[in-house]
Amino acid sequence: MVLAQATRVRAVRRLPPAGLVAAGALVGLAVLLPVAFMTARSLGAGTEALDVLARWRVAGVLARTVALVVIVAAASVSIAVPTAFLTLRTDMPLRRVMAVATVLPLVVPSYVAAYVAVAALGPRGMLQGVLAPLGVERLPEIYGVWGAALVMTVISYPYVLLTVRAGMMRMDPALEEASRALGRSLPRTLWAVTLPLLRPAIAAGAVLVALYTLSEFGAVAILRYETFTWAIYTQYEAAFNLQAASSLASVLGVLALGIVWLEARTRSRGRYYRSGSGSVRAFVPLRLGRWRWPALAATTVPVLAGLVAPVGVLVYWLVRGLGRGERLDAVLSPAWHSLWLAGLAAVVTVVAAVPIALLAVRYPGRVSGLLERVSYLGFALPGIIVALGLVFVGAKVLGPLYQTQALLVAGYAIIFVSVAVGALRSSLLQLNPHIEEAAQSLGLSSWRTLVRVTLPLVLPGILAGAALVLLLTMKELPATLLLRPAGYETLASSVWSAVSEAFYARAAAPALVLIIVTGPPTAYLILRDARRPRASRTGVDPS
Amino acid sequence: MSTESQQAAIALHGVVCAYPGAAAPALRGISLHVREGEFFSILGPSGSGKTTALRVMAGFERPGAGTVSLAGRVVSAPRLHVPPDKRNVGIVFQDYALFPHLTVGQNIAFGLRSVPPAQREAAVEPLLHMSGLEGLAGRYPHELSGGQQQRVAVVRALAPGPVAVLLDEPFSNLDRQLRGALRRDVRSLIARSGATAVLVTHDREEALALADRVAVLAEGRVEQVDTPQQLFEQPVSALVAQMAGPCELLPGTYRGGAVETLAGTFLAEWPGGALTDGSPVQALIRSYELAVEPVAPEGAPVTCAQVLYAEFGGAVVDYDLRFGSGHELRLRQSSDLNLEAGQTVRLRLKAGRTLRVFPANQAAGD
Repeated sequence: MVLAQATRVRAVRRLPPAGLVAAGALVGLAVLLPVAFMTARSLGAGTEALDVLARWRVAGVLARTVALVVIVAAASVSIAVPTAFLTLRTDMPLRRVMAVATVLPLVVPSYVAAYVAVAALGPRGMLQGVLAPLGVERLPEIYGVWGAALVMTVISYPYVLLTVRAGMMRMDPALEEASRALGRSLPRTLWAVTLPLLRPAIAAGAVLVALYTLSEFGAVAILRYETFTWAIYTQYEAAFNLQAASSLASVLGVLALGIVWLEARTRSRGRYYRSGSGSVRAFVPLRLGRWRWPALAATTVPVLAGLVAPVGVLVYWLVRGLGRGERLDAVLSPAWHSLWLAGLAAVVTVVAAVPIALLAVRYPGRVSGLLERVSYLGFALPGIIVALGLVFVGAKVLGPLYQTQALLVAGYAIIFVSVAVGALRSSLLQLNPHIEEAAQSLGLSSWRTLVRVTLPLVLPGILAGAALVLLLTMKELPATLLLRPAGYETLASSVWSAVSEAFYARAAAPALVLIIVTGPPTAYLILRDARRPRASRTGVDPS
Repeated sequence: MSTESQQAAIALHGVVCAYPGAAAPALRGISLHVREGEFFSILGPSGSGKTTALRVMAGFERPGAGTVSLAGRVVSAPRLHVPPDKRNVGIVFQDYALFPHLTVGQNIAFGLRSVPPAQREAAVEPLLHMSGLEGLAGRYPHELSGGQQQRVAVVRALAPGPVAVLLDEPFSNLDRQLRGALRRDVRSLIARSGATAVLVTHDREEALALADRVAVLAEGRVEQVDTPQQLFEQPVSALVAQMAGPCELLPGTYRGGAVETLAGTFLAEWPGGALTDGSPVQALIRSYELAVEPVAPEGAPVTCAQVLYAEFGGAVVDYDLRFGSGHELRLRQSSDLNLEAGQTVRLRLKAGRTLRVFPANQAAGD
């Protein structure tokens, strides 16, 4: 904290080395290129594009998308706020365990959750099979808005939970005590003081969930709910109508950037809510009395729905599939491909992130700020837009690269570079710049200082960033589908193709491997991040 | 006892309070009687339990034993706990705890639950005026200076007309230079409202300057309750003496109404009962009771000292003295004295003074 303070004070305007700026500019251009291509494409279409928009009932897609986003955000908030309160502020039994457990559903990739929902609750699914002998002929429809909302909510409410919990931990207990001393009962205090103070945290989490839902592709596709992402994909993949796809993508891009703008606004407004300096005293835990066990039961519901049930269903289908001749070793080659691609992507992404993070922290200014914002674009825009843009780039200028691993890895790097920047940024902020200046005064050039002093010291940040990118890449679906070399199966793509053809048993093995490999480290990184006093902006994609 | 609790605004009887997981209870059975309308202070080093005592009064902590009454009404007892919002006790926190999402006016009106919302603005107006906060009703807390924030916190606590207002180290977040003026502001604000006040602090200056009576707390027990002057002049223990004013303690032996120390033999008194001759004691050394006199260095007895260092401080000078025994003492004297480092001196008790002594085992803290 003290060091971070010192760096902020020391942030004097200095001119960055030309090499660093050039490297940063290169990364910025790489991120901009696909987006620029796609924008040009849809603008170039002119009135024809409007026609296309009209033809594809863009209004309908828009309404469906917005409806899903609003429902998921609202449902996530209504699960997350009480859960955060129960696990943080009461004497609920096992609250420490539940504080961790309630975050875990976010390790389930969205398309896996959707597949599980269909396999368990869909027609010909497990539940139907169990209930059919009892005379139940139809279950409520899992396809459509409610199914999509259910699946998206149980895996994305943890994002609201994380921001709300961080907000609650920063809160000064004296504020509630002041309200109690002024004669307001606990429920009134929660309503008049606690909730308004948490509003920025709730808004930040809700906006995050909204953005993820907007970008979501796999789950809505599997649950046959036509939002922008799926409409874009079908235009591209089924009709090969690039015109319609890019027009739809522009509308989606504007929507996404609108939400990001909203998020930035809630973030800056939140600042004045922050309580004063000094260490925050712990809250006196609220005694729940006879509601202790019911409270525990209530907090386990989302964990059961978002983690336990999906894993159980996967195990069921795996066993069933093995009994019917599915081969377990079929998962080996996709698993290896996933690891290989994700490893490559992690290295490339971190290397690309270094100049951006260095410029932003050590040489703050207009150019550095612009580059950082540009690098965030890849993350803010739905992956399918970046992927589609790269398809255009590949087709127009980089012909030989189309459908190669190189283009796919570039896609991953563009999408996730800001995640690595975030991780690097927070560890650079903790590094006292005097250490670098001492090295230079001892005769090291700025380049050698970077290699021998700065990078070794921020190695934990580099590794954390690389690990995060690796995990996110393994779970990534839309860019993988659009950009992968023909026939090159990864874990994500094998889940997708098996589910698209309703081979539920065949999808179980890759889905389980995906959760087992990415789940624990993802949970570790997120929980480690959440325990820090200042939540860093790593930002993790749920898909 | 019963008459005392009737006129007490706040009465604590044998209150024990322990935090879960803590090695020792924060309060080990304290009894206090805060009279109506008085400005009472709880003074103690950090960890003495003073803030816990305040939180017990406000109802934020539940005592494990003992009772708490407010204006004659029992609010905490075994199997009884009136929640904070039903106690009508105002509290001013160390960090003020102003609601950041509400304006100054809304903050002050927060506790005026009996006033209809439409009339709250009008009700707040005289309070703003009284506290010199006119024109700031529409501001947000972060737009105020530290001193203004503090006044808002005090007025907010006073607004509902509480039985008592509790102040938890309210000056510790302020600039040292501001404190004096703000102390007087707060004191007169509370005096004009007629409210009973309890100030918790570790700053002796603050406690002695503001309070009518002071309770000194140490390790969860009440050491002494008295007026500031009595605390200073008649401390019952070495600890109270140290809390009540700058002083030093010299080990010595009590013999026939005098104490023999390495700095000489002085008249001594111990009001706590009879001391047997030869019992070890701690002598309370306060600079103003002793005169430092230069003597010839040749043949000076071992009870004489050498001036090690003189620290000039304007009207006064602090002298570091080293005695023949090797023991060091710091004494403050008028700068008229004008001693120099290296000079040999001896100590003499000023006319009419007696050194207060405490049995040595008591000073060691049991």
